[in-house]
Amino acid sequence: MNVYIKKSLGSTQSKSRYAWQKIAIFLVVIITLIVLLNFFQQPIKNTVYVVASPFLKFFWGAGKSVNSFIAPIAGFQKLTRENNAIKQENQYLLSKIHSLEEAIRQDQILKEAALNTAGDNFNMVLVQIIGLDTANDVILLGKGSNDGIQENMPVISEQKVLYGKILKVYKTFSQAMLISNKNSVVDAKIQDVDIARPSILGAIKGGGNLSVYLDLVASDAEIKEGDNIFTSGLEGTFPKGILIGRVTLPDKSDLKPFQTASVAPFFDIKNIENLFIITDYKTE
Amino acid sequence: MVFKYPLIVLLFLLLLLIQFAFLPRLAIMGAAPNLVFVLFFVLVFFEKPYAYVWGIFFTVLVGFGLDIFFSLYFGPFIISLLLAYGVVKIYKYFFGEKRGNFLFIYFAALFLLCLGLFEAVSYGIGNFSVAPLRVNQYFFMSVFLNVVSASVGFFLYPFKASRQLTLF
Repeated sequence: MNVYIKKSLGSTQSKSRYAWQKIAIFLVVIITLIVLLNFFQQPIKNTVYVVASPFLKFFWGAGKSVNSFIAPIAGFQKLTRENNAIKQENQYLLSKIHSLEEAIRQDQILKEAALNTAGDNFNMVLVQIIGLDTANDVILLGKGSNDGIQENMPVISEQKVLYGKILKVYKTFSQAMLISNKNSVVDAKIQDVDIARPSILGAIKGGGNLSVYLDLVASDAEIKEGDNIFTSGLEGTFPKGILIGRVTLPDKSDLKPFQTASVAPFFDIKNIENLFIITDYKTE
Repeated sequence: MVFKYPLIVLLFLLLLLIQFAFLPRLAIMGAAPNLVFVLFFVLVFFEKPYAYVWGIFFTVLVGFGLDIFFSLYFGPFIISLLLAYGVVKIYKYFFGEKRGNFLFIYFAALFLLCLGLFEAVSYGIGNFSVAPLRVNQYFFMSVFLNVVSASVGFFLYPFKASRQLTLF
């Protein structure tokens, strides 16, 4: 009896030891695999993107078609189209107005004529959107280091609306961090409708899930609903005067050292196919 | 049955592409179901109790796919999926193979637990941001869509399995 108990105890112990050994080996294999994958990350990801890109482009296009198919069911197709057209026109006009405001201000201050902003002289590369990582607010773009794309290059739309900056570059693809990414901070200026008033400085921070908010605005500054927000160009990554969004709900509290505000961003990732990467912006 | 595993892998690849390039444009209140995780969970939940080798291989493969498209580096999704897989296995070890009317309740509870773990770990490892995970409209919509998708998967899986049995 004793011999039997001893034998069974011994067998249980060896089984347990064997199980721990297996777990340890498994952990080592997994860690080694992850390290190796990260070591060869660039070629692996680029190869997968190359193979998958035709399918991704197809699905990205299909998503737009399905989206525009669903809209008429709800009876909003015409309204949506008109709304999109007005939005685009509005963004274009806002950009133009801002350029003109800048010109007027410079004229008043420096007594010089400035009819165009510096932003009109950028070299831009047209790039197709291939996919969107909604969890991190990162988009995959169809051009990479072979096309001269580098990290931190600004990404904007045709209407000069800011989308973000290049985060990671592969040979033929690149990932861009949207301004709604939680790690994104963009120096911004808030322009009052009345151009005689000076612009207010702040920062646009990413809130995740394609949302942004305004932060670091001086507590004595007066921001109103409907004020437009542009890049200030102070941090050196983005050119000044690029459209960001519009203030929807200012939040001023005596308890906070800075004002914040909810912002409706102008970027619309769901209804866009192509973007532009500014390739030659340099801070002076 | 010979084509079962390759078909599952192909289905995963398809869902991965849909998840990355198709669903974001149809998001409701900014949220979309994570179909890859839903299929992963349904398959692991109904997997045979001792099919470890296939289960782990499959988990690493799905994690690899998610890391390619949804992470800046490899690791976060492989680790979070392995943890979710471990939770299902521990549950099965202690509670056995449940059958009967309450199976869906077990399934739903375990799905929510694994989804929470998966999201928290992948977010924690994959995101260098100090910003906390916010519980807002998006969060609730995302959980709702995932639970609805998993429920569909739950009720479709036995139907398909029984049909296969009659066919072969």
